Amino acid sequence: MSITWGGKVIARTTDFSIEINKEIVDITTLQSAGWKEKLADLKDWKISFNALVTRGADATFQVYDAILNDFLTSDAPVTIVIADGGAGGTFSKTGSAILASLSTGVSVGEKVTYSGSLEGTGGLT
Amino acid sequence: MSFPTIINNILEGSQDLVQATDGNIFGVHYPDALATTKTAVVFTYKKDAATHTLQKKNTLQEFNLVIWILSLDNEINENIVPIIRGLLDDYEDDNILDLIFEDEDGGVDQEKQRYYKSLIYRATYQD
Repeated sequence: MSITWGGKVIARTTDFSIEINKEIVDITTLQSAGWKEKLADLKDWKISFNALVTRGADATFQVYDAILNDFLTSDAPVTIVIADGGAGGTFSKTGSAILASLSTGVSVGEKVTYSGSLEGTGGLT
Repeated sequence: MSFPTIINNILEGSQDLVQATDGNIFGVHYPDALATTKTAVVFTYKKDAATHTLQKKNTLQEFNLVIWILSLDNEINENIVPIIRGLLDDYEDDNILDLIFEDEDGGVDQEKQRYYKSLIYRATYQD
């Protein structure tokens, strides 16, 4: 599985999670015969990911520098693709998302990691 | 380039070290046929940890690297130490993100019948 950001796979992701939610509206009335009734309402989705900070530029993969610059200079949504590119993999979903947070962890003698969270705007198809 | 290849290239690329060892620089395997009168540098390495990513296994690897200096004269070993440390201490490139000197040891190697010095490094390597 991989996450693609603006056409390039995010480099060195160690894990990610996708959460899709559907709001449920309670439409229970006195005519509901003692049972709650509900309607599905709006959906939303979000992705959080963790990755290693890479050193140097990369023409093939989306590196930390580029994502950080995007976060600091632009509020525009980015096209995100979540796909299973492995043999026999058929899963692929595309949507637009806004990078809502980015945090970086650095400590002496340890690998440098960062994590981000994306909030979907519009559908995931 | 693989980690041992990079280390080998660094050591063999040093004219001072090649001169001090008469070109007897070896990676991992010490030639049994090498005369005990020769001065030699041998390096060994062991992978201690690896970080995998969704794109690739072993994206980041941590190695324990030991450089052995062997000669009949301990003073020769002492003279080679600063050459090697000058090459390796805090070395970094696109693949070796960190190369940190951790410890030094020395004594008599009974098996190879000569004095030895060992320099121990910790390395972070990315493919």
